[in-house]
Amino acid sequence: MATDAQKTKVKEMLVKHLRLRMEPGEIADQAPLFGEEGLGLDSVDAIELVSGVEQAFSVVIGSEDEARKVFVNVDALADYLVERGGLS
Amino acid sequence: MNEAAGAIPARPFRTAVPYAELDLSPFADLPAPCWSPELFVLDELIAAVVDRGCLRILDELGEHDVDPRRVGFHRFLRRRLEDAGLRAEDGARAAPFPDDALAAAVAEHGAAAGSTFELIERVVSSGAAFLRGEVDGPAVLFARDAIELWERYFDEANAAYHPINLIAAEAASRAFAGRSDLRVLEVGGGCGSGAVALLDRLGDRIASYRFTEPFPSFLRRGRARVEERLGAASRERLQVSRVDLDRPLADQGVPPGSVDLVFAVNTVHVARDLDASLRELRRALAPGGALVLGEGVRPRPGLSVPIELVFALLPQDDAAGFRDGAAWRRALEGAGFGDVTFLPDLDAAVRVYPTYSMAGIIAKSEGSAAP
Repeated sequence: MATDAQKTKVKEMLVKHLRLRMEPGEIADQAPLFGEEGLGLDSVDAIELVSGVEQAFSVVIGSEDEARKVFVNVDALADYLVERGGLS
Repeated sequence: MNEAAGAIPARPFRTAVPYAELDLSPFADLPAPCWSPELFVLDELIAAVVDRGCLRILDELGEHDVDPRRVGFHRFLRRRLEDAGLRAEDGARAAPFPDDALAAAVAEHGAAAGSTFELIERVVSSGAAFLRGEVDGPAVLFARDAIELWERYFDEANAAYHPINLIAAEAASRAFAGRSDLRVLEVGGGCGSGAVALLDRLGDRIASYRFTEPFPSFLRRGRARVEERLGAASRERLQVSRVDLDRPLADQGVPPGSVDLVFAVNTVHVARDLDASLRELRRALAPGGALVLGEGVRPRPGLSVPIELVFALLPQDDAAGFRDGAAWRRALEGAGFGDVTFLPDLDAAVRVYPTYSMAGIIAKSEGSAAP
């Protein structure tokens, strides 16, 4: 399980890499990343998010299926990055 | 060179007609970057590179079967070559300019439209694999390394794309000559280059600017660009929201009769139901209002436009909605617009330059008081 500090790093990456107009602290851990609710990201963001994860955490998300599983919310993404050694 | 097969002798790149011999009167009153010797050369060079690309794709396909899902793209390649007076059957031999001549011309004249040439090359290098069904269009056009390329393509710095923003902004200025306190709605604003052109042209005559775009990622980029252009002092004039041209505008917070100018560059041709979308846009206009479009137009019915090569790769062909001037007039009048004019005068432009394909379209709402 990712810690709050690790989740904050993920939120900072989201804000910086996707140029979101919000503070990292405004993103709820379980807010959906995509769709009308939550952050409302789209398919172009998904592509950029793959790059952002690779640049910030040196973790390569290799397939669409994998991306679909981890780009759910901050909790899921942070846990995945901890598991893959991208967040310590 | 096989003359018997009808091949055209290869030669260094040059335009079909020297610029100096063109009758420029239809373009004389356009803003300078919209019509210039540089743009004329660029326009013809893009067409030549696209045509060479079409031949290269068909050569690389060879005798391989075309995947049934890709026959539309195959048909486009052949049609494009016919429009250019080339024969697909002659393969690369038919290319009027050899690769090294085109590469030299792109190096000499193409720097101001580098992203356009990169996009074309992206499609051409994957074209045969696409026809064989080995890759899909979005994977080619929207791969990770392509997002930044699209941003550059739609940017003011792309000399092949930006003129459409400038022509549309000029058309808006003419549609509202002498008027101020304009309430503007932009649909499909993308990364904001059209908005910047309009703000540059109309400036303080705009009382409020509602910048909209259906895709959140582009909306964020566009918003940042427009805010930067407006500066902190003028940002109270700006509203930003997601609006989808394919849905009723009133459901998306745009009340009927609430704006004077609806502005859309390179957007409306992708509407799923053009008639319904045009009626929605007209409904948003206040009395005296006008819709101003910047659109790529076919020089005559059915004639291809070179950049279609890129969009023909998409499942929902975004170029399928390209129309000639008469078709735009019919569509706009059918949706209830009363007075439709083109900038430049398209008939005159195509008479002197038969492949001219860019226009500002002004469509005033019926009973308009706008001059």
